[in-house]
Amino acid sequence: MTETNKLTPPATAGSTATPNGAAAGETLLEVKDLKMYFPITSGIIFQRKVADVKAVDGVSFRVKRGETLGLVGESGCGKSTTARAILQLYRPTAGSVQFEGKELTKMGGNELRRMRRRMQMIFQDPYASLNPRMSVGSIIGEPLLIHGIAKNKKERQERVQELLRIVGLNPYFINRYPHEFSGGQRQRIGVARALAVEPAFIACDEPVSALDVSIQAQIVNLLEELQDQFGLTYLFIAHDLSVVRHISDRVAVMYLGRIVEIADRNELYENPLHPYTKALLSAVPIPDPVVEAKRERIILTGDVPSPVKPPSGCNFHPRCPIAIPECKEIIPPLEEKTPEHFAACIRV
Amino acid sequence: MASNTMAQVQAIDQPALKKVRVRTFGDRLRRGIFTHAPATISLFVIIFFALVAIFAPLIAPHDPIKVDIIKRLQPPVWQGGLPGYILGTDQMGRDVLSRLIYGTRVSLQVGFFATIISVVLGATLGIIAGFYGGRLDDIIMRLNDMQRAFPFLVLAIAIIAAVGQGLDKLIIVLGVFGWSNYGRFVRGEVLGLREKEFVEAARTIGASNARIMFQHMLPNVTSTLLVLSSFSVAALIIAESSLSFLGLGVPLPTPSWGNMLSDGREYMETAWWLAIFPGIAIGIIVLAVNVLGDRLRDIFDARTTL
Repeated sequence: MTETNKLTPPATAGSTATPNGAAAGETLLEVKDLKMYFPITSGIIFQRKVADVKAVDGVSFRVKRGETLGLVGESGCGKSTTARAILQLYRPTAGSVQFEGKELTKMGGNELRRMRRRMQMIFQDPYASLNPRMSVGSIIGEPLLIHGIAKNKKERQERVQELLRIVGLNPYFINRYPHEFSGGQRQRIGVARALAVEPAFIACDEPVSALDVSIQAQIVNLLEELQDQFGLTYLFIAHDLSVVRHISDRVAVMYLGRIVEIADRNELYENPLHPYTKALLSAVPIPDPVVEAKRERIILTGDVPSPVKPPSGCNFHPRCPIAIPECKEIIPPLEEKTPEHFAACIRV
Repeated sequence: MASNTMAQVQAIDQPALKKVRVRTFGDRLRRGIFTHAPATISLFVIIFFALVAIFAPLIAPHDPIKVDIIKRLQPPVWQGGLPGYILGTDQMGRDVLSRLIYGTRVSLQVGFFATIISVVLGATLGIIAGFYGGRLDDIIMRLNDMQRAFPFLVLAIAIIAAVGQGLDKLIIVLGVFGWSNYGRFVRGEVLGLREKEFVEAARTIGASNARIMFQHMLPNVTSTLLVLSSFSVAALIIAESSLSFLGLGVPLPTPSWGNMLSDGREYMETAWWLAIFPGIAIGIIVLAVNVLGDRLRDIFDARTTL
């Protein structure tokens, strides 16, 4: 693995001091050479490992306090797995995850559970991420109970109602059950649950992909408001490039378990370097029929290779329009090509 | 859109809310049962039988095991039997009503306590097997298979022979043997639940394994578990009778609905009242348990509007 541990660019001009009093630009999360392999086993009694699904294969980046890092890529490229490995929902195969200066990968169960107060997650499917048997009050109140945040039942209820109000729901909904809500409302409940522990960092795993377009905007705006109000730091995963562009300060592009390009949002969208990023961005439709008709699309040939047996060298080379023979040999490091713009390609 | 959410965010500074009472599960339970007539009746039927069992010595008109051969096989009073023996007497001259009242004790205890043991054991082992998977799952499920492959009566004879007869031992044997169905069912459900996002969400907020298993997964299987277990109450009352018949259940003179039923079978043509009354009693309690169980299933399902 020649993946560099080079530092990702400092925070963009957009991020300012956070209400927590912490200085903006301070590194909140540092991921180094993160690998998440899922073993494929065969055999009935004596199981042996026959292969690995290399879902995440050496990912490194930094997230500054108060900023939003967007993570984009096709389905199955390891975006969600990266988020789960950072939060230690999956224990990573290798690599390090430092959060507020503490190494998460070596933490035991109890220590890790305490860390959950600082980092949270918002899930993709608002229909699956809320327990159908629990009332809204107990769903949002549970983190308060687990971490002993509210002193008694009364205080917990007040806090839950306040959280409901913060996410724009009626505070009198505490006795209702998830099935009584629409997708957007459920996602707000999920946001309230994540906010309950007053975290510093929230990994948003495609939080709007399952929602209606009109509702998507509401949730994205809510997330932005909350970020301003509580000084939150987001890792925002999506496959919708325009949503990512809207909310992110910086954007990282993933392909087959690796980050191929990472840069400031505007820099990345206006001046993509990596051929995969270019192809990805060329797929975004333009809402103007005249321009749209003339839009040049880069159509990639073939399918995404299997993460069980990724191609040698640069794993994008079989589909890359500008590949040269060396691409099969060299795993391209994520290098700073122009200031604060990193790409993993030997051809740019 | 943006101004909308902004307004909501600012809403935090508003004055305190007026009180909302948090509805507890107890509220839902009360509401669910008492707004539903069949369930209410069933509940009272079960309470009635329980009281009969508890106060049997005060209610029963005669000694249930006192033999009086002269008064044998008397029909119920409305069929011209002896006054004071409302439901007639059996082949040994014992009062059927008194035996029925005392029999409630054995039958209800076996039916309910053995079911509770089975469900608790089966649900716990099933959740553990499904949740942890791997070796633990293999061990628990192979144990389950072994037990299923083994004839119940043979095992019961072996255990009773080793530990001796008695109601408590009978309940434990029936209860422990009954776990396999629940265990298998719960494990299967948990395997499906384990992949659900809400379980991952629970982990994210810092829930322990025990909390995930018993607060998040268990409530999602209780409905089906309740229906399954309400059937088993009936099955166990009958199972007790077949074990008693083989001399493995409660020691003989002690009446139970099951052994009254099996004794009475021989006299079906000449003295119908011996088998009919315990049969009716079993029928009523089974019906009550099933109706209540079905209603409880609805109550546990959050989607039901009560």
